Amino acid sequence: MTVATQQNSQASGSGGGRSGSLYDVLELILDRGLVIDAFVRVSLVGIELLTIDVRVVVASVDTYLRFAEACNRLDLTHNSKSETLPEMIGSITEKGAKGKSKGALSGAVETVAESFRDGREEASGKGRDDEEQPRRRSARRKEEAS
Amino acid sequence: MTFYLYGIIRGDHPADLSSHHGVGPDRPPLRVLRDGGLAVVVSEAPRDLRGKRRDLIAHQRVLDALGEQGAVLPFGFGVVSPDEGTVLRELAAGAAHFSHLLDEVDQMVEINVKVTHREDVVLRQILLADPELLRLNERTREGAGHQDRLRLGELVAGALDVRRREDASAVLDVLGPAAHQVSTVPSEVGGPLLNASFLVPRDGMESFHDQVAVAERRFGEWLEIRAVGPLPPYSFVDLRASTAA
Repeated sequence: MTVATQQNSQASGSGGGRSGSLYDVLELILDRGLVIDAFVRVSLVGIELLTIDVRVVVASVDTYLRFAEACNRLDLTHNSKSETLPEMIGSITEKGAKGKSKGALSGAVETVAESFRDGREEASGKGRDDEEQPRRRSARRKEEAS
Repeated sequence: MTFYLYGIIRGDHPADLSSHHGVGPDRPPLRVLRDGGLAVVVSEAPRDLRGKRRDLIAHQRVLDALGEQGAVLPFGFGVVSPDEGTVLRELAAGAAHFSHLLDEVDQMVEINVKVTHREDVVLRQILLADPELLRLNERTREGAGHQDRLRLGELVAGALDVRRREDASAVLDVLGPAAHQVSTVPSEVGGPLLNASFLVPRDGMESFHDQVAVAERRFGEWLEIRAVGPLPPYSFVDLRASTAA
């Protein structure tokens, strides 16, 4: 994803109109923009959950345990310096934004992002864009919380 | 007739939207309501606006098109007005304010940057930098008790929090100088460590992306930096929310 947007933005240096993935601009479209009291902002059940769901409560026993687990999983014997920095960046650029493995918290956030993207692909694939996302998201969240 | 609002433009903005349509299942045509030197781009509001993907995209595309043709003050998604009279009244009432904002964002685009940790890399750095953490990590790996596990997690969470702030400020230092204004959203745990929008001159986008590349070279080993744009200046149409870079 990083790669895509970086390439896009470089390619469209002169101001092409496409604006990155919907997920990335969602909170801007939903939370910001001109505010004028006389106009009504319709409330959008479901959509607003998306931005809220991303917020993971952290100061909890569960989170600490997840961090501990994530640390335990790390291979600390592998010497990261054996990969030179330019190589590192090369491989990051090639593989795009995805870290090689998901960590405790970023995993949760990515899951939300992915379910949103998956939903979008599904929708465009089947030519329907009416399906609601929150159901899938809450299911995933439960997994995450348990 | 209820109107759905997209953005405020100057009266002399071309507003060529013939190949675009409004939000809603009926894909309504776009209209321009004018008053004095300003205008508002609207469409007939759908009866049941539910924020479907298709609608968000339609909203965004209208504003993209307007932004390419001139200055626009974007509304967020889902703003409606009960009738034409209210739209025109508000346009007239806020004319000075809108004109000022239009000057501010003229020839400008918003680029949103989200930065997250590559968590495994950062956790590794944190552990390797602290012998106590390394020891705790070894002990818990070998099945030590709950308390040790909690202690490790708590210490790591604290260290991560410090790193989030440091890394956010390091990236801002690199990108800020390439922008006219920056608007940051307070960082929330679980969210990006930096979520910032930059107001960048349309003809300065390349320099901005050069700076993004600099930041990636410098921090890419442990930071994921996502830049999205050009966007309509959603984050810079409310003076209260923005600060000079």
